[in-house]
Amino acid sequence: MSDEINEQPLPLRRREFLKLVGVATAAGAGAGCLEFPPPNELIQPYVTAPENIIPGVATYYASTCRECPAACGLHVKTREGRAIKLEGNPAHPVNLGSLCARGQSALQGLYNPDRHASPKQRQADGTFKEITWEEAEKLLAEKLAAPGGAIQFWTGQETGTRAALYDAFVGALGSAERVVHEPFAWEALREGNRLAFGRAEIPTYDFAAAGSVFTFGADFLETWISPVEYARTFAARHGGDKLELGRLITFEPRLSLTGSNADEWVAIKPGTEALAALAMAQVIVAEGLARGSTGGLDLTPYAPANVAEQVGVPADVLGRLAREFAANGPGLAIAGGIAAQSARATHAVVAANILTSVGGGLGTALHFGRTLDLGRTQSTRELVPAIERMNGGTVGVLLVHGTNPAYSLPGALGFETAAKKVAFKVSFSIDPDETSQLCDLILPDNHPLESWGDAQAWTGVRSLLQPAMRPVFRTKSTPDVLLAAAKTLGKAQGMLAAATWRDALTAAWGGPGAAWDAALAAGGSFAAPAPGTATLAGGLGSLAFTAPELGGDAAGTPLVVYASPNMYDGRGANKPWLQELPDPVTKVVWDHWVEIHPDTMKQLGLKRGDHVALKTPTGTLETAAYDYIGIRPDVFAVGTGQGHTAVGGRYWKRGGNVAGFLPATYDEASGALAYVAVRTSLNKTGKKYKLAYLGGDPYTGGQSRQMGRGIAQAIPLTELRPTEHTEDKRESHMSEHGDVEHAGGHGDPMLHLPGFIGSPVPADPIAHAAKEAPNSAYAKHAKYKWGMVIDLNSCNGCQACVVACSAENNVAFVGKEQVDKGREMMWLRIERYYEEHDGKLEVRHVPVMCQHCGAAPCESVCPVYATYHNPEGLNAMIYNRCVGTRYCSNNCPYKVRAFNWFHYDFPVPLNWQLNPDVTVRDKGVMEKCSFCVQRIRDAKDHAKDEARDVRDGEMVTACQQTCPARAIVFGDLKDPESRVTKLVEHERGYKIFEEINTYPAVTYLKKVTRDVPV
Amino acid sequence: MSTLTYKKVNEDFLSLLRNPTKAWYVLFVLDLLVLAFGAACWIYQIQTGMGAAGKMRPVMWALYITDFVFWVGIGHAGTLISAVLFLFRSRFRNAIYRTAEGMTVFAVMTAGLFPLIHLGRVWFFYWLLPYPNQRGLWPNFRSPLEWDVFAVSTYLTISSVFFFVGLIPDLAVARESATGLRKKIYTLASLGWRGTNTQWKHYNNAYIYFAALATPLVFSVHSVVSWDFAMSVNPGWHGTIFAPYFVAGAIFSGIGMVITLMVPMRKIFGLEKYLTDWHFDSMGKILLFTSLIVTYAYATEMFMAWYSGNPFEKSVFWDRAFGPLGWAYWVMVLCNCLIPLLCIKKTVRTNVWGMFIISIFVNIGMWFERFVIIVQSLSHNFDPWVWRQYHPTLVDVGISIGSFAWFGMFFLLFIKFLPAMAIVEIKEILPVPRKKARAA
Repeated sequence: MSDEINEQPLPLRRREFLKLVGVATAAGAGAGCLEFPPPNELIQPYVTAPENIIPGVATYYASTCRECPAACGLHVKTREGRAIKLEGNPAHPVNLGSLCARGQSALQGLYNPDRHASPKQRQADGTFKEITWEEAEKLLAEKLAAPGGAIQFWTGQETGTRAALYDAFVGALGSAERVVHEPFAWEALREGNRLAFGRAEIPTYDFAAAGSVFTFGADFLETWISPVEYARTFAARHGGDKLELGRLITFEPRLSLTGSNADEWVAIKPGTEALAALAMAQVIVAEGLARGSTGGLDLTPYAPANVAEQVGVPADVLGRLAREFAANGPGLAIAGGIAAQSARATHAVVAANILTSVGGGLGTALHFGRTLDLGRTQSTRELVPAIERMNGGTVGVLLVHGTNPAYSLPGALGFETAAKKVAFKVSFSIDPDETSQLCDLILPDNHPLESWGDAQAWTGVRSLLQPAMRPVFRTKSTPDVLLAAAKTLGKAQGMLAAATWRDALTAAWGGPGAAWDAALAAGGSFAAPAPGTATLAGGLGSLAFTAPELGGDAAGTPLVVYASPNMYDGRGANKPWLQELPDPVTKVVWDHWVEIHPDTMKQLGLKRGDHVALKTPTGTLETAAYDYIGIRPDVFAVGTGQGHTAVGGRYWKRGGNVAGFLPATYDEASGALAYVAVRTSLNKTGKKYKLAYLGGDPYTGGQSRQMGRGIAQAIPLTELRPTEHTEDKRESHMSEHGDVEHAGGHGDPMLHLPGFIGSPVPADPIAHAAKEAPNSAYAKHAKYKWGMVIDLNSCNGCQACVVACSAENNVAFVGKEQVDKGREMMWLRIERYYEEHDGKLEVRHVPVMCQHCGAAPCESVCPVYATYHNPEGLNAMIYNRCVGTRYCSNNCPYKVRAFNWFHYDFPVPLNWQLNPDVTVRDKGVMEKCSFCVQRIRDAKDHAKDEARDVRDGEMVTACQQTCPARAIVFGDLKDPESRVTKLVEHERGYKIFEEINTYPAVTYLKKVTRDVPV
Repeated sequence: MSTLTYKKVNEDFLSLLRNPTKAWYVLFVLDLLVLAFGAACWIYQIQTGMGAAGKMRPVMWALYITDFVFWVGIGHAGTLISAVLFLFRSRFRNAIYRTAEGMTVFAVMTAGLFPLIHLGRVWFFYWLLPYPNQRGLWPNFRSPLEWDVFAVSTYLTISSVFFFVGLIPDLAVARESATGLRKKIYTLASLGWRGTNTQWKHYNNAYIYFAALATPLVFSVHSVVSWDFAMSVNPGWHGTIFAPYFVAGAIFSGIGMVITLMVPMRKIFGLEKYLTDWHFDSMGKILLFTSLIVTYAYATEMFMAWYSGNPFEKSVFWDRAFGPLGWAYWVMVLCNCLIPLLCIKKTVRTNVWGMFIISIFVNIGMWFERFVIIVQSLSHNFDPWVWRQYHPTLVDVGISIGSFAWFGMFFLLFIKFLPAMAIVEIKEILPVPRKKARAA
């Protein structure tokens, strides 16, 4: 080649050559632009980079979670314009950086492959046809201009500017009404507080300030009001190393996750929460221990002896607990959870408030310093007239946004038949849910992560939503659609005059400017919490507290319906993360089941997984039987949220719809739907069925017992040595936790401080000396040695960490059939063990991930060095080297390695959520927890840029980052000052299977059991 | 055997190499069909992933490793008979060693497939081989799986060479009467054997040399295989008894397989003259002896689990006997410990079909031994949260059965293309031929 050139020199001079090259390049580039059809997408760098996007660097947008009314603050992590992970906003006072499993899974709502991808119109044959937004909006305006009757606008619970806009829109339309339906709207709680305190609000419940918490079916660690916040404040007092460890006693027929964290579970009969609470209040008052009024109620009729039989608990137990409650003040009694929402739910809330009052919790543990604003909601009973109007044929147009009444209302209310009588129905639903399937026009809203908006959490805490990315599908923000419709109809006055929804929102926040920008950056505006008071109103004497009458066959078994922690009111069901996330107590995945006591199962001749039908006068619910040790033998329990029927949903059609099968009975005082309302019969259907669950199969050897193997260890409080300074610091410590902010904000519930129990001195100095693994010399010169400490006294088993881990590390979901085969991929699991002493059930949760052993059994057996020990103490996994012998997993005592049995798909666009920093593993490769090695790299790179070492607390793993209870600490074990180093030495510290000499890098701190007599 | 002459021996064995009968063809085609099914299962597994087999956490190894250990074990009897008994000048080996040795080679070839079949990414199997490579990475010599690579490949090499060396004089015999292509192949393979005194001298020296080289392998290979388990931390695996226990088990199962193969061969080819009661009596004694060792090992394991006080060990062995897989354990005990006890009686040992039935039980029992050790121990590991039972799929079973077809294919070809008994060595124990019988 070079010879040829030499022989025939080009007849070009250098300049001419360059000119030609330039022209050719330009022509080529031009041709490329004009090419039609456009060429396939290529991986290429941004030529003109969009603003704020640096390839490879994440951009975070502050926003707000809309998965439940709690309104936690979000930081949406985006990479190259795509949201890839949701994390809590550390500045947001509700969640202070944590986020629950449901909140994190909102990402799978955003990228859900089943979402409405465009506006659709129903055709004459009943099918839907995709149409353009112009056509759709024109049609909407036409119908609104001539509705042929009244207009009903059904929405979910909304606060802030969106609610105002809806109201303005409905007001402008004239003959229109806004109907608000939120399945879990805490009506009974608000009504009960109105009766007890004269304020129909949700007050501040400060678990950190409560010495004793008695919960009457309020599952505050799962779904009750604001679980992330409560998990944190609860752990601040109940977990960690506090000397005045809080107590939690739970009164519920079916042990919830919250109950599993209780010091004692009192299995009362369903609906008798009020009686149990008043009985204990009576004891406190009668024995002169009361620290507050009873609101004028004469408690004598509710003495334990009188109600014990109704409640189903011996009178002396109630008496003992009452004395404990009074002795370990301030006492906080809470009620009003879904699982206790009977016809007497409001009364239970009043009774709990009375108990709080006599227990001295008013003003400290319960106060109205700031209250939760749920906006205007309507109880289920208040919906009846609206449904009747539809039935009467006077409604011409039905608009539905953010609520799914065709699913979440009892079938007996007849929403579906009524809606069919409405001539024109419009859905603004994001997902193809049951209600949108009834509609004639579907105008899909943007997902909250693609939307502007705001939400009110607590008073003074206004939280902003901003789009983290462009809409994934051809959707349009509903407020914008409404503003456009208002303009077309000539009704653009007031708020509706705004050009766009964003303008309207900005205007409501005081217009663009520095304040708006600051609020946007911070995620909202957060006022400091105001101290508050609470006083019991008088005149409660007129209230009569009785157990509710349950409907259905008198010979049937009472049915308790509880709010599923994963599915919530049904909105979690289309998210594979939440379906594959095991239920925190039963550990069942991808399914629906009825919980039955093992003894009752035996009597009924049932085995786990048998397909059964529950029958009530209003319907039949087909589901699978699950033997649950944490339930009264005379009660059945089912969770909400499954049993969707909508077409096109690939993840959510499982089990039965509980809400649809319930009778239309209400809490008498508040009108809330009574979830504990019927007795039911139970029969086998004979269908072949299988439940998939973790934790081993009780029939073939798998256990929910530790078999004495010391996996989840506990230590009685009396065995912990109080430190020297205990006595003199006791006073100051008490005042330290006057408010939520304090406890969660600075509080390090785990660190050894004066006034805390536990000693930093290792129990056994010889064992301590041997802590270094025998072959660790090679790591001598490494700067860091990473380690983790998990406090089992703080961990409540909520599993937020599991979803965080899956989101951070691109862990695949595998579906029910594969989980049933034991092939779940999760890198982190919460093992749930039952302990029984003296007939009392104790539940222990222990998060287990790769222990990054110093002398790891997996490493030596890998023939190809796919797993090896890196100098920083990480048990590293090199996917590309793995040939899949699976020997490492066989030799792992903790069985934390997950093998890619197949190629696992992330159906488009769920693959958009993948974290580009983490390899996606293909079939035949082993994987496991990496201690978020990509985050370690990131932290080290940052530190290097600033010519320093990684600071303690700077490197945070995904599980640690999201943990609402702050149970996980990660850091450098070579830094003598790091939290993790100090905690590793903790008296409560232990390592799982330490006797195998694996030298794990994960230290667990024993759970503290409170066996201290009163 | 006194009626036999050298000529008769030649004719008897060379007749085996004549064109196969219809029955042979039918058998061979059936065998290939089963093999094809197994191969299809493997291809399906490679395509969809290891999930096609029934494995899961915690039972990450199951039938494939069971089959691997089973087939490696089978091989050991061949080497024992051909090498160890040769060095001990045990005369009964002469008639059986060729078949046993062929069985060894084919069993090791079968066993060698399973480490590949069980790989999640079989297309990278060569990463296990130590050779200078662009990845700049040696395999991990600490891993017992890596030791397996050496143990099995060494074993295959030595036993193949030993097999071939033993064949040379017989191939020369076959060469003499063969025609056409066969003749060319036998000529080539007999390496110019003419039976001169010098050749015999060298041959015998080489044979002793290879026998000495192969002898340690009888003990080392299965010890290494046992270390796959013993070197792990798993309760039920982590035991010092494993190496001798596995070696005894291997010889036990191998002798069982030799009997299983020889009885039908003797019947079909009418070899009663060569395979006499005396041979079965001798093999029955080895069977009984190794069965007793294995029984002792089972008892020791149980005793140590109890005596150690280790809760993990205790639990796993209790589960082994009385857990969900307890039936497999008792099948193993019945087949490996109780039924072979019948060999105590000489009438049983010399009853050929009785020995055949016992040997079938031994094969089943030894397969279950490996199954129990591997699957049951894994299913009942340290953490009770992950305990789970293994259920084989069609792919697991198909590949396992296919492995028998793979072995069978080679064996069927072997009896038609190579002298199935050592012609030369049988002649060694015949009276030396003379032109005229000497008066007594």
